[in-house]
Amino acid sequence: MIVTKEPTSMENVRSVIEAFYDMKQWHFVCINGLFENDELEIQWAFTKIGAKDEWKVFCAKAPGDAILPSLADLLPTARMYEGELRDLLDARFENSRKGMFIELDGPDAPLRRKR
Amino acid sequence: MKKTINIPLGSQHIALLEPVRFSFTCENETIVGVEADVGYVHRGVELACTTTFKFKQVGYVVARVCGLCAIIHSTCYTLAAEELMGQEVPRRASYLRLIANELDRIHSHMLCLAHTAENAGFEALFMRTMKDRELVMEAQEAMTGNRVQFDYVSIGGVNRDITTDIEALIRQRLGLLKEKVGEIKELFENNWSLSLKYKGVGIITAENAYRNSALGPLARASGIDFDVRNESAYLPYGELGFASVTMSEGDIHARNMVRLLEVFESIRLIESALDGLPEGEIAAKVRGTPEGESYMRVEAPRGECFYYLKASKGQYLDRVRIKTPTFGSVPAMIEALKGANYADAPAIIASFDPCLSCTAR
Repeated sequence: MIVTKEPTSMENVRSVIEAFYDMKQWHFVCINGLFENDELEIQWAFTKIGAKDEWKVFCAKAPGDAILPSLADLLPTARMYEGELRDLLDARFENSRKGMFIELDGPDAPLRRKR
Repeated sequence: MKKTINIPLGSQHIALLEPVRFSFTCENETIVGVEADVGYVHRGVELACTTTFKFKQVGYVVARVCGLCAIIHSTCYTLAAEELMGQEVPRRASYLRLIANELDRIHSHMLCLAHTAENAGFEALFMRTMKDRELVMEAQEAMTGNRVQFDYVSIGGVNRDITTDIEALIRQRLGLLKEKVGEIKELFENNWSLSLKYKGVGIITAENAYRNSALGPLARASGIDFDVRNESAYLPYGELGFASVTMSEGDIHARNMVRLLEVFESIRLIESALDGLPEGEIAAKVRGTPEGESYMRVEAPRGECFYYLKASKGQYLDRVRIKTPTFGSVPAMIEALKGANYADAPAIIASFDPCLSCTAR
């Protein structure tokens, strides 16, 4: 398995992915989020179509309360993952709203909890 | 004159197997706008996997994400954890995992086919498909010890071996199933009312499928040859000569036919795996603890299932991220519904085989 991680900044992630993404060459897998040391790390994962286990993962970090760029116009499924991470991690993507995944009276950002 | 009305479907509705709510904006009978709410059965599985359960237990927790594709979730998690541990797996265990995964795919596809028949008002075909599905459920029970929540896969291998009696039972049930599915395929292919209901309805073009990152039978019915069994070497599919199934029409009929043809391919894979089942142990000794990041995906009945793990050598994982195929298919489902007749909405939704337990976790 080949996983290439490409760190970038939140300011540049949109232009970097826009330049990289060809929907017939790369399959958009999902957006992943981690919360460590009061910082959010967001990962955009892609696999190469027709290649065995070839991954490209763009990652960018931001403070926990930052407004994050939405890629929903570029990757339609991103809207789902952005809404999910908004509820589970309080990752504040542009134009995302709370309540898509957890009811509004449900727990707040449960994945920010520590063991 | 056009009249615009909003019609809700769900969260509890007779046409839906699981809770999901759609809000349709219709102009007369035509759907022009769709909103979907998928979060009715969220259970906090990802949090539980990093706070309550140790990494060796997590495989059994994620099997509870979904009753239909339990084995897929535990396989995907286990492969990801094994990668982080550098864990070896005996070849016999890999073959047994493949057999269990394909049995799971067959019973899931047959449930979907039964449900789509029910949505067309073809009750007799629904009951017949469910009755024939019992053959694969019996094979699954004999092999794994349970019909639904089978805790079969574990880190290092599998938990049960198969005896010659069980192998004979699986072969006998699959032989019978092949005949029965052949008859069901004939009905789906040629029955006039099913054709009228399904052909040319709920179309996803290849371009739309690419744009919406469509997965599984949905993408393959739109002519995109994308199957994780081809794109990853997670189980020995290459050794058994796996061949993916594609069609080009992109409508409900094509999605049903892809699933039907995949049942035949799964039966062939299981029979080949049983023919070439390696001798030896079914599990290797588990050593160490996971460390690092792992990206793993497997082909679930509905498409790509993805697991991300992060660990730092402790008993508890730092992060477990699960992406299930239905969640990724919602935008494509919305595209298929736009422009369709409202009366076709239940059949279009059923043809996506949505699994909300997986989606909401």
